[in-house]
Amino acid sequence: MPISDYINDTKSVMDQLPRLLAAMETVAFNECTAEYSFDLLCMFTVVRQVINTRSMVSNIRYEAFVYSASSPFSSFVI
Amino acid sequence: MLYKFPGMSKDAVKKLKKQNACIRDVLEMNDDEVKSLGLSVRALNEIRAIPTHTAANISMTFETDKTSGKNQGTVEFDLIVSRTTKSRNGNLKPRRDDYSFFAALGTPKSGFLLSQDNVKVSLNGQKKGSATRSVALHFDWTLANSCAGANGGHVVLRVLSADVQGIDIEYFVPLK
Repeated sequence: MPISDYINDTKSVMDQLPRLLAAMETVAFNECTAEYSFDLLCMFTVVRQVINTRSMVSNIRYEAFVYSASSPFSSFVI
Repeated sequence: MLYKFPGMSKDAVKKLKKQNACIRDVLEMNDDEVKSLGLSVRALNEIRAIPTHTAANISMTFETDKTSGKNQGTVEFDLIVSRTTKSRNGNLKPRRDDYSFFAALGTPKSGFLLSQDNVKVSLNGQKKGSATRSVALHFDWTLANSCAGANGGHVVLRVLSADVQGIDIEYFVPLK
């Protein structure tokens, strides 16, 4: 198992990720009428959270919605 | 994310995962519920230093621009950021006072981005440990209505923390 290659490649990806996200974000802003631009932008924020907290991507609970009836509207915690 | 907090034991993380609980759930727990998890004082203080945010007084308005004839909607809400000041030993020193949030408005169908805004809130000098910021998001009403879904339709308002996982909120705001 080429562990060192894996580590180096991961570092490269993580270094380039903010630039890639910024470029995609610009595209999403300019193309607001493109489908799923809303989800894409929210996903950027989640990725930034992951980078800031240095946690694993598998820990994102984006699909796990918890219902809260205390709000005047139907609200969910991501 | 939960295992990242200093002093958080594996057993506590397992219990929280079993309950499908995120950080917001822990922040909303009372003392008895927290005790049953067996969280250490250090871990609990770290979690309680995280501010929670909620959107209150959400209102939807609609107007037509007479010159262009475009229909514009506006979602206004108060973003309330509050920090728990209560801890087991009474000592809680937050690491920072400035927090940023990302508010986005979209359609439930097709996921069109209607509007977005970055909101920065400072808790510095707030004696109550909470701050309120009014946010207004303007959007294309026609586009929102076309993908709003059944029963009059609604738009999706998401308020995400820029730094912390597990405290993000999503509201379904009716179009009316």
